[in-house]
Amino acid sequence: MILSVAIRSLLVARRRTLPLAVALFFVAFLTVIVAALTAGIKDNMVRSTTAMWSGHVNVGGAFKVTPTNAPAVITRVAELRAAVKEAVPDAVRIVDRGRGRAKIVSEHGSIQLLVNGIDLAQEPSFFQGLALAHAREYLESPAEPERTPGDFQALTKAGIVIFANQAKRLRVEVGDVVTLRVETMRGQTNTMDFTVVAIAQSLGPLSWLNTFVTKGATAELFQLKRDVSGVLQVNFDDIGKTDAGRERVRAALVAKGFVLFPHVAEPFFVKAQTVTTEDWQGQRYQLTTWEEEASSLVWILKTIATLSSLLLATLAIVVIIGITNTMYISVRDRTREIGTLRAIGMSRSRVLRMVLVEALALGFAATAMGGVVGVIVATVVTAASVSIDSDAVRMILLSDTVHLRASAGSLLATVVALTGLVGVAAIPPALRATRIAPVTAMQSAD
Amino acid sequence: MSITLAFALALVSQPTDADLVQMLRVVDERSTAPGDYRSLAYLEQKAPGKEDVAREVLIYRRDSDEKLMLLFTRPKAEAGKGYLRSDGNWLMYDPTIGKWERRSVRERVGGSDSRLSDFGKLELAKEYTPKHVGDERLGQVAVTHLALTAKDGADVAFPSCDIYVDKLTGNILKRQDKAASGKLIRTTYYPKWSKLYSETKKADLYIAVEIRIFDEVEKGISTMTVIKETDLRPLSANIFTKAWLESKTR
Repeated sequence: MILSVAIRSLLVARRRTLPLAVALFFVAFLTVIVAALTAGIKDNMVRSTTAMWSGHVNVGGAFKVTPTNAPAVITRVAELRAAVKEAVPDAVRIVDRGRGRAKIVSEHGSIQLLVNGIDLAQEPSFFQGLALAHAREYLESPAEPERTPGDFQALTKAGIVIFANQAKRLRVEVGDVVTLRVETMRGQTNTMDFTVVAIAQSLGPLSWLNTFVTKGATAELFQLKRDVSGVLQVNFDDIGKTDAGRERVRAALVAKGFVLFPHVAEPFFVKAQTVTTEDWQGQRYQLTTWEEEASSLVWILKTIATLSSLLLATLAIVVIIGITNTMYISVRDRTREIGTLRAIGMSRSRVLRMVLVEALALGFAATAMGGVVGVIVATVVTAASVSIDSDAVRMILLSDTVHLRASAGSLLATVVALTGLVGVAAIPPALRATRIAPVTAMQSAD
Repeated sequence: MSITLAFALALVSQPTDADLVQMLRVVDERSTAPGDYRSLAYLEQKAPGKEDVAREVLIYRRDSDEKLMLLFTRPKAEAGKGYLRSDGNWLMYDPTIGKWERRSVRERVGGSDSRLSDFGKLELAKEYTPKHVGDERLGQVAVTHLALTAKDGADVAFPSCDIYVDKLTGNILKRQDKAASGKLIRTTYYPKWSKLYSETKKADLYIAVEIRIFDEVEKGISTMTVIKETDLRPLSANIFTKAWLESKTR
């Protein structure tokens, strides 16, 4: 009965309660959308990191040839692979890739970056996560701005795949030749010429630093022997198995006599910078997870989460203040009604419950509708694969299309949290209503 | 064997491997002296689209002990920075952080194309195996063209190089350093040499007073080193120490 009274009161006073309901609707809608955006960015980060640069678990390392020369390579790859396979038989993918630091040089400029050597025969779907860039993304005034030249599958030993931001800096296009300049394992300078076979759309900070050639090319470039590579990458069917998988691999490698670096949660290229200052020689291995390799991207997520939390908190505070105010006005306007109810025997606690239920009903209805609409919008936008034209936005969202992942959990949390806040905001006016004496009703009647 | 005789022999007959090694030894020996050496050098680096960078460096050498020190004195931002070679190790000192770090002989000095190895004594005979390519001309000058391949285990930046040695003087006039792939990485010209009598050597010491390095991969990048004020008087005993270099920044 209290609920039906509450709903009736809301409908009667809809001129006063409608703006509040709309405000709550939008706060709930925005909260769900922002949560979906954050979840979407995280999905993109996981996808691009684990598809492009990192396995769920990575076995990298450094081989110290001399005190000042410690290339980031792993030796005894066959042994390593067997040990890892034994430790994690449930792994769905164990591949080794070449990698190392290089300077890519064109006629117009040069960039320091990391070169990754992949074997398309082992990883045929490697480039599925990338899209070819439009000519306008890297050329000044292209004749056909929307054209997407290039072919990822054309990557051969003499080919290289770069990103649009790199192509723009180097002023190259598909078919142009660039030179990669590196230091080999023995510390000698080596170079190789590569033809650009494809230019991919930029995907955030990781695509500023990385480029792709074949594994054979990295072996020749860095003059690696047969059983030497850059990194062994391990993937599971469920990314949630990462931490446990890393521990199993670590224990297995230690048991088999592989010497590991003490664990520090940092990507391999950060570790590589400090290796020459350490006093040891030979091979040491480093185990990292995809999160550690992508730690440079986590700041994007944290920044967005912080900013959106601040924004939503501000909005929520404004709305809550509005609710408190409106409920005070409502209680004042219903003084005679409440006084009459008290006069005919309604207890203070029931009056309190009545006012609170009214606020909670408003809160629940508005936030539930806003949340549901938010989920629908997020789902429709994601399904439509809306493309992102702005480089800056693409860098932040780590994707070339809008990806919002709304979940029942975030919807429920939004509705519960906002409804709860509304309830809390309604407590002071509800308490004020309980203090209305029955005699007040009679005085109002006068 | 004098350099002229060595090259003369090469002129009249196809030099043997031993002749070529001897040629290299003579080339090395001309720029080496057992005593001390101090000079003031200017390094100027040019790169397209960037401002030219000029540095003033003091070079101290004691070839008998294989000691070498480079001390940057200008610009102000780099004053006090230095490299020290001692006991076969290269160390770099950064006065802004007060730390010493190990470096390799392949280190680019000040980020330029010149390497630490360019400032030390030549050891071509020890590090490379020569092959006679032919007799050529560099402008008006007759030169002997040798192709050098690094020996196994040699700690060199470039696994192969070509040198062009002046037949008359025996000085290197041009050097082309190559990558492991065979691609030309940099070309170095030594257009000017000066000669100083060394008391410790009891012979002349030849010093390349102008060195021009051209990057062949990143076209437009070049480094010029000009050596001035060379002094062969003995240096103080503690000069090749960390403490000495650190004291220069205090």
